[in-house]
Amino acid sequence: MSKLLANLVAGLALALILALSVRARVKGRKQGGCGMSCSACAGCPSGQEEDGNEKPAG
Amino acid sequence: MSVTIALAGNPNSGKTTLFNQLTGANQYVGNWPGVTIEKKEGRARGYSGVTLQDLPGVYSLSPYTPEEIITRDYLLRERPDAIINLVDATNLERNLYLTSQLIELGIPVVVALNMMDLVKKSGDVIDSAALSQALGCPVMEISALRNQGIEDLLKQAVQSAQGARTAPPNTLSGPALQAVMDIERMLEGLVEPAMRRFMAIKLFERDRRVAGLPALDEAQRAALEQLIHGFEEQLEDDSESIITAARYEWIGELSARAVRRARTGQRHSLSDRIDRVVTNRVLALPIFGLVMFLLYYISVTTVGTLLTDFTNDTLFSEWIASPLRAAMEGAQVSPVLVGLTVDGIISGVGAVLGFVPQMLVLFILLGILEEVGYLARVAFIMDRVFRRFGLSGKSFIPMLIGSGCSVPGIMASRTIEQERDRRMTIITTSFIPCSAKMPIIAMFAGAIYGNSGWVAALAYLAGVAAVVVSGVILKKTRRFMGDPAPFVMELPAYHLPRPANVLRAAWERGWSFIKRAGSVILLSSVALWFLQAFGLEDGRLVMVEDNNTSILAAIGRLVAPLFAPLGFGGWKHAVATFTGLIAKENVVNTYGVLYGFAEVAEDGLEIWSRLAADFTGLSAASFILFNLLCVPCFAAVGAIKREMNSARWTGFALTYQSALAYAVSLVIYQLGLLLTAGTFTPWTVLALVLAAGLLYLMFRPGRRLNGIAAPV
Repeated sequence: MSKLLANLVAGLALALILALSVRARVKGRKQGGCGMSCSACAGCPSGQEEDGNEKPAG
Repeated sequence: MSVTIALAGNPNSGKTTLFNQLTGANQYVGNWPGVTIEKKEGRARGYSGVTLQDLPGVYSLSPYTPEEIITRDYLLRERPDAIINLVDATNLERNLYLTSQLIELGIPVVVALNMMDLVKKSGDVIDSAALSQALGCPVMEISALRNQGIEDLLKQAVQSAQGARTAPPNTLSGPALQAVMDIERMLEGLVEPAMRRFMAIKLFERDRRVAGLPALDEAQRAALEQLIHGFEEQLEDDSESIITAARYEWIGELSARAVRRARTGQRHSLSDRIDRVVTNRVLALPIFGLVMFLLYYISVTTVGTLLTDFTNDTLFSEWIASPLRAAMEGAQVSPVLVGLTVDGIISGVGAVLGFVPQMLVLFILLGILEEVGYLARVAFIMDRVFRRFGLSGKSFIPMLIGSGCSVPGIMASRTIEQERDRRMTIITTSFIPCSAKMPIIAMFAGAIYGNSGWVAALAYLAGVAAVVVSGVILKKTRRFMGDPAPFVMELPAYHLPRPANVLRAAWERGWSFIKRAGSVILLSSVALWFLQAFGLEDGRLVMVEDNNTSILAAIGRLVAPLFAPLGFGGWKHAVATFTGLIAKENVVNTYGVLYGFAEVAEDGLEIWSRLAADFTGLSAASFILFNLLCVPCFAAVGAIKREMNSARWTGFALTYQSALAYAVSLVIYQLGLLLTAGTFTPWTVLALVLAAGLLYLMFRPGRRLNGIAAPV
């Protein structure tokens, strides 16, 4: 029983990590640039949304 | 209440800093001109319904560069309710040229005299009341950087947006004014009164690219041309120059009235003294080389390594991977899940995250260089080098930006007017190592070259050399032949770096790097782990003991022979090169997964030791160069496709990059083998032929066309 539970917990944790990672990737791709939705690089079309305040308007 | 306020001003006058202050946004602020290449929108803090538009910096509303067209078209088509004209008060006369055009648009303007703290410090006095009276609009004194006067400025802009329009003052005089007034009379009934002055000037300048120009019939056009021609004859100058001269005359008179200088010719004297050394004809390049070496020496070799060693060896290996494996195995979790977690995700992501400390040190140092104003000088210094090879220094700005990420670097090529120069810049920008390629370089520097700071510095210089060589080769082809674009760049005054700005920029970049590790790198690691952990046995998919019998090994072996002549023909290196196309950091996490932290505990070998066993100094140099120069990541390829706007040119760019990378790596490896070990094979012959071919393409004789060598 404990073996089944350990596998279940590990499996669910992995599934959650993968789901979050896919979500981050999809969100990042929509933002443009290298896909990381930050404003780290000059001139990048991707923008960090802060209070919903920034978006590339061009 | 819905109000739109546009921020307009000269490049590097502080628009983005002001935009960030007004909106609470966090847009990248660079200490070189041309950071904003597209307009950006944000909502003003504390004012509901007030939208702010950050426009690209322009010197005038003439249609000479894409930024000028974006700014002008926005102002004419969208007609914002007000314009905040940001004026660099330390360069008032030059900035007022744009102001003289903005006040003619019929849109309420508020002039913000920025950097007033510097003006006061220098002892100069600007009479803003006199300026306001002459310009016919409010003039506010601010310091965007120090957040001084910002609230009052926004309040005034909102008031002006809601207030009544006033007629613009006369910025012209004498015959120029007479000519414009004559055209204004022709435009009665055709153009609304608020826009009449601007349109009349544009018609006089024969500027046909203005949005909303009135449609004139044949007779009106003939009368207009006759009028313009008459004034040109009278003043012995072309119409555009007549207007420019009149504006500068007005600005000169206005400055004489409103500005009192404490000292003349003494401004930014410290900057001038530093520039005398830093941009010196002889010393500039050695100083640049030394700065780059120190940059990488500190970030890769000294401070960065201490932190990275701890992250790799202790944090991920001893503190995370080993205990987690023991705990999962103790709980009898399936070997597949243990492998996926420890050998896949932790090994892959950990291999990339291990470089975060080095990257942070690098980003902090780059941030300091930029804040101080040195990076702007680098573009100026490189113009001298580039121009000699038929390239413009303007091409270096995209490359400077590309050292962070190739995507915005490639996009920044938009500021180059000449299409052939722009295309060449798009093709070559990704040769400069971006922050994602740095872990590859740092990994090999650590594994093969004893953590020498020279490796990263040489990789950077190799990128610059590839740009120059490509410039020489491509400029000799018919498609790219011609004079390089002129490069005029304002050098910002040196100032001390602000720690908060530097740290924020470094954290932003570092966080972006971490986010990539958590998304694209993690997903790639999972896929890689699966492909290297499973293989086909008797037609069944089973977990394999040795990844040399895995699916990934089978795929890798198909393409590996392609890289054998370059010195890295093993299937793992072929796989690493191909996964690098998804994201360049993938090269590192591929080795992380394939060599595995998990095996560290078993045989005592770390990734770097395993890498050192697989590579020689020569094959590692070949591998680094190939990954540096070959096709960039998919995101950058997308940017190339967008900016080229042509499948044929995109295809050419990718083919050229791949061919150059292959040729350079083959030549370096094969000729290196010949010189060091005396090895001579058919590949040596091919390398010699390619080296001769490259030299021929660079030095082939050509006729001179507009000062540039061209093929006969």
